[in-house]
Amino acid sequence: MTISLLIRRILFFVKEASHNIKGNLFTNMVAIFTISLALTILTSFAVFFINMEDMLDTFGADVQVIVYLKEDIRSDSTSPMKEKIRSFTEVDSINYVSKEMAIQVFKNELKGQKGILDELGANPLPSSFEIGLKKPFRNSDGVRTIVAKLKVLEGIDDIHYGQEWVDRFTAFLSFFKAAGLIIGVFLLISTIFIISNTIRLTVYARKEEIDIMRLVGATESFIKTPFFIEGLFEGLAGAILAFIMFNAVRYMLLKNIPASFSSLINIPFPVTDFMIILLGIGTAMGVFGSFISLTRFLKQG
Amino acid sequence: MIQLYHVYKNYNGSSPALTDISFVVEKGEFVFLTGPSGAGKTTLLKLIFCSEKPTGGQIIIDGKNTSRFGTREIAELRRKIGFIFQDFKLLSNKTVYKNVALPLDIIGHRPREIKKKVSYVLSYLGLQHRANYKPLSISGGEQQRASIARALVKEPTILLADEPTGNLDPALTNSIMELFLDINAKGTTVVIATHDSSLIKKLNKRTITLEGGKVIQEKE
Ligand SMILES: Nc1ncnc2c1ncn2[C@@H]1O[C@H](COP(=O)(O)OP(=O)(O)O)[C@@H](O)[C@H]1O
Ligand SMILES: [Mg+2]
Repeated sequence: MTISLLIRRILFFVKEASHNIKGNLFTNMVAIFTISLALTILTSFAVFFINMEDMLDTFGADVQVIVYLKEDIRSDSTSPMKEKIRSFTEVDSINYVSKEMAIQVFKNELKGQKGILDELGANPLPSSFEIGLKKPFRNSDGVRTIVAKLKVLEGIDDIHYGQEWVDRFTAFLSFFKAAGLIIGVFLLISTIFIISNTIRLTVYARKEEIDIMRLVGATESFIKTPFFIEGLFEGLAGAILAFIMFNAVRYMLLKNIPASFSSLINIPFPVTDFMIILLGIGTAMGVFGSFISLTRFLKQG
Repeated sequence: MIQLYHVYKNYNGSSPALTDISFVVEKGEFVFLTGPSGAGKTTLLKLIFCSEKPTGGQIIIDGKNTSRFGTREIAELRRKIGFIFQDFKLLSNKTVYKNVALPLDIIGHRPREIKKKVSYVLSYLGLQHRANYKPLSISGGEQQRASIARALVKEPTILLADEPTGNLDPALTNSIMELFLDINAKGTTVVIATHDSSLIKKLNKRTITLEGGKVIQEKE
């Protein structure tokens, strides 16, 4: 195919597609509106999900392992021990809390009840390491691994990590991720299904036209290309509309919900990226939707 | 050249539409296909045009066996065959001009060339004043001429016509037949299906007569 024929073809297809859009204006408006609604729902879900996940991750930072040291531990062995623990791959941060610091914290918490403390006599609190874990290990498995490594170290009395809380948090996080994935995939498939069905309307409306095109010698790609352009346009227009709708809804929500919830409807990317992603997904879905309806409903006749 | 060898066609259920049809139409020939309504004329043209598949037998067009054709080869074949449909098959949402230009758009001619050819064929058929009308707003005869214009505009090597004068008055019928003879004289193979015996008598050309799906008579 020569360049000039290619250009003529492209011009023809674009003209054809725009002619078809004008000719089936109502059907196309319905398609664009449906696509935009579907994309708005999909986007809202994705944004909510990403923010929720971020929020849960910050909860995960609370996963902490505390190692209590033996009473008779030699003061010059804590420093090498700290370095050893720091070298474990799971460890993000480690903090040494001496007996004195521990009692100080305890005293601060029990202000006004000095009597109790006086009765204690000598400082009964052990020294300890507070260990923060790296993100991928802030869960049951991660905690179990590090605890196993810590247990064999010399001079350790006891290890605390809020087992139940970590287990529940881990279970909830994996449930949340699985549910999010399922809902997300479901929304994505239904969006494509909706788009392909809406585009099917425009394919049906022109069934006779397509048959006639075949009879005068049009190849399948010649017949289908204008539909792809139409789907692309519908996806693009739907995405622009979805962008507007999403932001309108978000704006209204921001004005009406408590500030503490507003982080849930943050847009997790820079606005231009967000726009590009949305338009990209919209057009891809439009083209894919046309592809599905063309292969399903445009059988050889 | 069109060659048919022992061609059969059964539509689902009913009695066969065509039974054991064999004949050859040489390049540049002018042939009438006649017979009463339901004889199988339209079916035969559709088989040649690959819009129906034969149940049995071989159809060879310009040396190519159509039984092995895929969609691409069929599209190619249809670009060189002009087909005048009995029910016109014009695109109702496009103007007469656009309808006639469509085969050239499909082939990918240059816009200037398309304009020249379409204008020429439209004025040849007396349709230039209808160029910007949609098919449903013009008369049956005009629609028929528009479909003839669309078949001729690509200068086909083979012209198949299904009752092409059915909607035309005698004067127009004569001028359309003149037109067919004219393009036949320039080398196009012409096959016309018609049940109008007066038309056939007037022209004295090779005639194949069908009845009940069988060839019952062949006259040179
Ligand atoms: N699409 C079809 N489905 C079933 N039967 C058909 C179909 N087209 C034609 N026929 C039958 O085939 C026979 C030949 O029809 P046709 O080729 O249209 O004849 P003609 O054009 O000579 O009038 C008729 O009996 C007709 O009823
Ligand atoms: Mg017929």
